[in-house]
Amino acid sequence: MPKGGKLNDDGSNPALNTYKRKKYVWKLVYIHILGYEVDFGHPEVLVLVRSSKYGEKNVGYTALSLLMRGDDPMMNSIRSDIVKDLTKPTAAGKSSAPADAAQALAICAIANITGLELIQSMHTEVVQTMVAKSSSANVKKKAALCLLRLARTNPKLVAGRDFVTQIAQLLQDRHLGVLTSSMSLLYGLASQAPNEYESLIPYAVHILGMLVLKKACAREYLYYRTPSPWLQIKLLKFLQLYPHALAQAADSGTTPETSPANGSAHISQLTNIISKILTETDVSDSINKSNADHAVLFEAVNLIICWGSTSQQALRDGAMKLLGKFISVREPNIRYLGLMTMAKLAQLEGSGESIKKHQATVLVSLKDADISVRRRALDLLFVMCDTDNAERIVDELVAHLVIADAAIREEMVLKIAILAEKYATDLRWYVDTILKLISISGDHVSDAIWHRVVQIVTNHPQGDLQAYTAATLLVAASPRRCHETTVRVAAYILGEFGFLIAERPGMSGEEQFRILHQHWTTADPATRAILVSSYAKLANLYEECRPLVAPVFAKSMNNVDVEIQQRSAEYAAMREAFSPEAVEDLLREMPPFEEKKQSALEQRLREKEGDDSAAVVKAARPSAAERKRAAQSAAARVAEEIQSRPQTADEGPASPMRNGATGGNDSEFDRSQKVGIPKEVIPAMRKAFSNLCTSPSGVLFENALLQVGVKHEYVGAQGRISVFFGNLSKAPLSHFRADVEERDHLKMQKQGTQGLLDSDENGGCTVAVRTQAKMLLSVEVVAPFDDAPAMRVSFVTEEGEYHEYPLRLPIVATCFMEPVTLEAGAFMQRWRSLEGQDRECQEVVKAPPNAPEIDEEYMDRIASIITNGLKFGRCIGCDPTPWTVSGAATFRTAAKDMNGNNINVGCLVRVEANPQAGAFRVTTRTLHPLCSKAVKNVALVSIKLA
Amino acid sequence: MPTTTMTDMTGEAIAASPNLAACGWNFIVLMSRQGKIRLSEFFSSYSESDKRRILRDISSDILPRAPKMCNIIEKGTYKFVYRRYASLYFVVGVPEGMNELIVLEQIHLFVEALDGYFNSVCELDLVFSLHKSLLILFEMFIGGMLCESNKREVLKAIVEAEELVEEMTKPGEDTASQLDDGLSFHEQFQLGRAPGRRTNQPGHGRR
Repeated sequence: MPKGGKLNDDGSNPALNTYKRKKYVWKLVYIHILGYEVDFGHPEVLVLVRSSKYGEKNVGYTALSLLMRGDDPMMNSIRSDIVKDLTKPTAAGKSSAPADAAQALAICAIANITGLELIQSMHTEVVQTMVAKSSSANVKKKAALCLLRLARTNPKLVAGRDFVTQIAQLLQDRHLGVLTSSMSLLYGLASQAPNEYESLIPYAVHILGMLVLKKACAREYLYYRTPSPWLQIKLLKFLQLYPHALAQAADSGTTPETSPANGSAHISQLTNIISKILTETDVSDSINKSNADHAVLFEAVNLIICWGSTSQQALRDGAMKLLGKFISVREPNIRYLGLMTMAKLAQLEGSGESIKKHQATVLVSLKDADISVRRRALDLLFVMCDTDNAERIVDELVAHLVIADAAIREEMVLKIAILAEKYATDLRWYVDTILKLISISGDHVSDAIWHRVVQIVTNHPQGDLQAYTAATLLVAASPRRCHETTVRVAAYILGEFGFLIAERPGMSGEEQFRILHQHWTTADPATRAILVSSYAKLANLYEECRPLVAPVFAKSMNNVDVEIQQRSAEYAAMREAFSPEAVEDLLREMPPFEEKKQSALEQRLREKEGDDSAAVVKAARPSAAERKRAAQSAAARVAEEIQSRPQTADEGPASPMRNGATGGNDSEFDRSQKVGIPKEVIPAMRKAFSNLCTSPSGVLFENALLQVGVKHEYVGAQGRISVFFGNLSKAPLSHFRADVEERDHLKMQKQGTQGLLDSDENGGCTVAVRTQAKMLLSVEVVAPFDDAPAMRVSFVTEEGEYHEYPLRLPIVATCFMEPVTLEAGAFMQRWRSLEGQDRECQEVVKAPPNAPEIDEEYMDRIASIITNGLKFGRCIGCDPTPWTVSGAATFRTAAKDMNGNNINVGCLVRVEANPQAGAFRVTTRTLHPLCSKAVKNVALVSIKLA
Repeated sequence: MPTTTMTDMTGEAIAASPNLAACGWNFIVLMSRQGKIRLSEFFSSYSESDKRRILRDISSDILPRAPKMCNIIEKGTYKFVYRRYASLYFVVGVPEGMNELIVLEQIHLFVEALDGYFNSVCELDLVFSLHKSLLILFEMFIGGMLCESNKREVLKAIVEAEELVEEMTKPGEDTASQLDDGLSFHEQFQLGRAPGRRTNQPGHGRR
């Protein structure tokens, strides 16, 4: 702080002469200008302001506006002096040169030091000065701007309808300086309350017409031969406040009560003006002229964008063409503004295609040396991205990210992440893209981004996305050094979905643990906490991991970080504290995340760019790919629920069965209005399916439109299944199709009503009211299996609704059983010989909650299920107590062995009841693991229904 | 971005709404190639720390830029629009939504007015006649908004004011101070400034 001794001495000296005081105050100003705080010497400034000499006043006011703040207590003492200067000439009725000059100084100072108190005491005087006849042009224009400054601080002070007439009066002033200032004032006020000043549009159009069409402008106000560009800008800005002006004018032209001539005359003039600006602006040699002209041009384009679809197509096309030219010019400012304005234009309906033509040009600007241009190019790319070009744009952006500098990286990463999510037609590509982001610029990948990956992967169980992600992340986390974020995502995803890839070579549970654990020592506490949870999940799934994980938990129980300590302690104690089932439940996969309306990424973008940036608007709009995905997952969820039922928790999501049923759907998702199976009929459907597994005929599905009935009979390895589709609605169902999935283990011959089995989308038969379509299947089983073939029924109702029901035919392994009667001794001998890991299946099932107590009668029912439903032969005599039921059967297949005999699989089943617990234990032992599983499943389901 | 929380004199924050702010410049800073401030005026009220941050940003963001780059730098809620004249940068802070090209020309208009007054202005003119450049600035821009675009009228007003001062000053009182910037060479030296010669040095710092 250059606070020389001399300055301080001077400040306390009241007996300064004029020269010294002025010199002292200028020194203060100089110090202030250099950026230092000047909080002394203010009394000397006030002395100068109060002086009657213009020379001193001049210095005083200049210093006042620079040095003092409105809330300075000293301002109170000076206020009356300012008011005196402000009002003197007005009160006197005539203006003298010195008084005028003093008035101008006062106004200028007020404008520069607005404080609320100052405004309250002075705004009326400023308004009076502005409109007084006696005020000179010089004073008027300054007063207008001063008033605007006051209005900006406190919008309520200057408002009201009467003010509109005063401004209208100012707008008729011939002096262009006054006009410019009045227009600034009008624009400022109107942007706070557009409705109140709407009546002034014709004035603005008139002035603009004078400047643009007639070039009527005083010579001094031509700026490089352009008639006052400043005023033109203000006028165009003002007009942008009324985006509906065109539409309203068109409306009022047709209604008789308003004067159509006046209403639309100025609007058509305005359209002329705009098209003249668009067509006649030319590149000129002088940079200043070119800048001024282009400034006006950009404002005109902005106005067209404001009008949107209400403006003429020709204007919009013209604007588009110009912008296309601008984004490829060398002049950096024009290019910058061209990119910026084009991003705004892209928000208009129907502009997307024409903008996409410029994609290559924009990509060039993305590599510009100038950060401002790069930012705009990025923004524009973001806005122009859609499903067609997303992959290319995102790949370009990722490629550019490698060389992008730090200033723009965070923004790029965020935008790439949003685009990749929005427009991914294949989510595996999305996962790959985010992984690339992490590896290129991991520090800029915020938590929100990787959380989103987890959310999306969890919520999309269809296809092999989860397995793919798990495998990819395992590879990504394999190197000794990789980014912290990679470790986090990998830890989470492998914990959740690692089991899907555990059978692949080099990806076993143990391997997964080893790969994750190599990062343990370098990971930060937040990552370690995630790792601990993943370890717990791995240990739960793979026994071989338990001894590896236990020491980690034991060690981390004393960790400094509370979160890690708590997690480790809890996971370590879990196995002793709870039953295995409870542990299983606790460590199950996470349920799907709730779909929030606005993702965290969009939130972040909004914070960064403000609400009305083009990018934010863009991000909030769901893309076609997103909508499609949402429909897909909704449909898949329904399908999943139906299919997951008949077999209990026996298979992982990777089973080929499920993929077969859902994967085939993809081609049909363009049928937007798809109706699946309503949730409420699902429980009844499950029951119907289970019943049909053990009974020869019944109803498989029924709702208000359709009933599906099934009749099936089997001899040895062959079966005949008839399926009836009855139309229950009051109108015919068209495009009716039934598509039965072909499986390797079932040879199938299909016959049906004409068109029913068409594979073509538009084929199918029509089922009239109260009639049936029929399908006949002849099947032959060639190998053991444990699931049921899927059948997709689809049709279109009269209203054009497209219905599609994924169903399953009740063809299960037990259908092909042939009972075998065994002596007790022979049964036990075989029973024991089949003991072993994969030949045996066992599961405990509770009796249904409403079932009676388990007594002998109940056991008889169970026995009849085994004999009649499952087609097993009851082995009398090998059950020591009434609480067990044993049976034997042969699963007959049509496949031949080397000797030409049919291959059969012997099956044994035993149900043991525990009347106290109300539970049954079902054990099956067969020569083939799939058979064991299948028989167990059917038995379980049947017992539950008994 | 909290970089421009404009605080009103009363301490109440002016809403950073684009409509309210789109009226005029937030500030103008004249900075030399070496990062020395030649003139600065903040039309919106900034706290001292905000001002310091802006000045620091100017020297770090603008001074290193290559001449072929565009003259606009985005800083969140506001933008720097700058123009370089010889070794002097004219930097204006404008709110989002203002027409950047016209701001560039407003800067040029100001420079032309200075040029007209000093008769081919150079950096030294601004150093020595700070008070004159301030008067021209205040005559042309009020509260950050362009008030008068007619150079002649601006210069006329300045000259009239000077005449007025002379008229009202008794002969012999202190007319000298009107031409002088009030600081002796010695005092300028104390302020960390190398004393320069007021007389023209051909080719030095000229536009």
